[in-house]
Amino acid sequence: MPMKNIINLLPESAVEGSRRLSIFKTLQTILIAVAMVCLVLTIGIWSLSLITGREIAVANLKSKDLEEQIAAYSKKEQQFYLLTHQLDKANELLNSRTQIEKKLNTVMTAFPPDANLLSAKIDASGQNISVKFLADNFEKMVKIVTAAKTKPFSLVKVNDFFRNATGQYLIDLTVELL
Amino acid sequence: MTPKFSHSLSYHESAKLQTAYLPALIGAMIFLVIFAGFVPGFNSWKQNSVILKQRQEINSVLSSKASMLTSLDSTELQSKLDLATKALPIKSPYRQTLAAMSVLADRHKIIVDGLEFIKQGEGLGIKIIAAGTYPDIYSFLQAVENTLPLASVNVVNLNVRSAASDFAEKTYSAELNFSFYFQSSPKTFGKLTEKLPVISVVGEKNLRELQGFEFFDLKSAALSVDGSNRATKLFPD
Repeated sequence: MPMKNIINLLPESAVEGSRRLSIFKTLQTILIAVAMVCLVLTIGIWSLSLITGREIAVANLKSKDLEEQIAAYSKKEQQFYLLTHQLDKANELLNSRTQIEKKLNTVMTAFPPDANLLSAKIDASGQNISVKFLADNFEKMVKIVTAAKTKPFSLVKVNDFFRNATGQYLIDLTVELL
Repeated sequence: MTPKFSHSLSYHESAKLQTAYLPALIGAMIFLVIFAGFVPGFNSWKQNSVILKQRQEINSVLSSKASMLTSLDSTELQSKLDLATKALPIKSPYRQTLAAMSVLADRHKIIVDGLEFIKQGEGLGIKIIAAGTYPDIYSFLQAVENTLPLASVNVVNLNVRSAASDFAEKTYSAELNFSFYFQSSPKTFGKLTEKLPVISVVGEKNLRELQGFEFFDLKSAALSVDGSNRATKLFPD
């Protein structure tokens, strides 16, 4: 009798039972495979962890060695820190300094040479300069005012102006250096 | 007539075990392996990796620091530091300032009528009442700005003193306000694991520039240009 016919003769529950058993066997195989993979992964990850732990120990030893090397140069290190600390500030000062003598020189040279400068007040932080002149005559006084209105100056205000008993003119100006 | 099949009890037990208990057992094993083995192992590896990365970074900094310190020439470093601390002393530079004022006033034929120290935040303020011709005052100001410690002229107040017709002979009385700078040393010299600071290109350029600046101490002030003991006279101890 052919096999197919024999199976057909089996009750429905027995065929169903065999099919289920086959499914369960496949499932078991899959589960066992998953379990094996998990086991291998676990062993792998622990091995990696151990290797990393050993690398940390090596790195710690190297670190200690480097720290000892640096400690041997502690004087040099301190000198270098101090050098950069002072140099940073020195750079800042050198780059921000305003050379006031240049402003002074402008005041002394830009006004007419025959103008009699009595006083000049220059502040490094500001642009304004106070100047006081004594002029022998009106023409000279006009020349001074004209110079105060001409580049590199801009006339801010006339603080004081008078003619004394000897006929000389005194003028007190505030000019801005352009 | 339908044939009947009978199964023994042991076959039933075996089938039951295979179909129900074994998968459950394997499942439990997987659960156990994952939660008792893999997860702690993964966490431990992750933690170790972070520690190792940090340690490697620190080692990299330490290594570059060590090699930089090894390559630094002690003599060159000392001379640069000397120059930097002359430019910006760690203490108030009143001695060097007095020396500079004395020598420069003498050199530029400036008469010092008065000198006053002014308290300032980040520098030593000095007010000088000086007298001289304009070219002398001008060159004196230029010289002060090219001396160490670093100084800046804040205020110039010029008043005519003698009304000579010749510009070069006309004398002025000048009130000059200077600031001589200093900066105390840093409170800490950085952490061991911190990178060393770098001297910038501008810093190197300024160091070279500072080499051209003049520095005076009280000894050089006492032995002034004309050989007179001017510093002692001008600023008695």
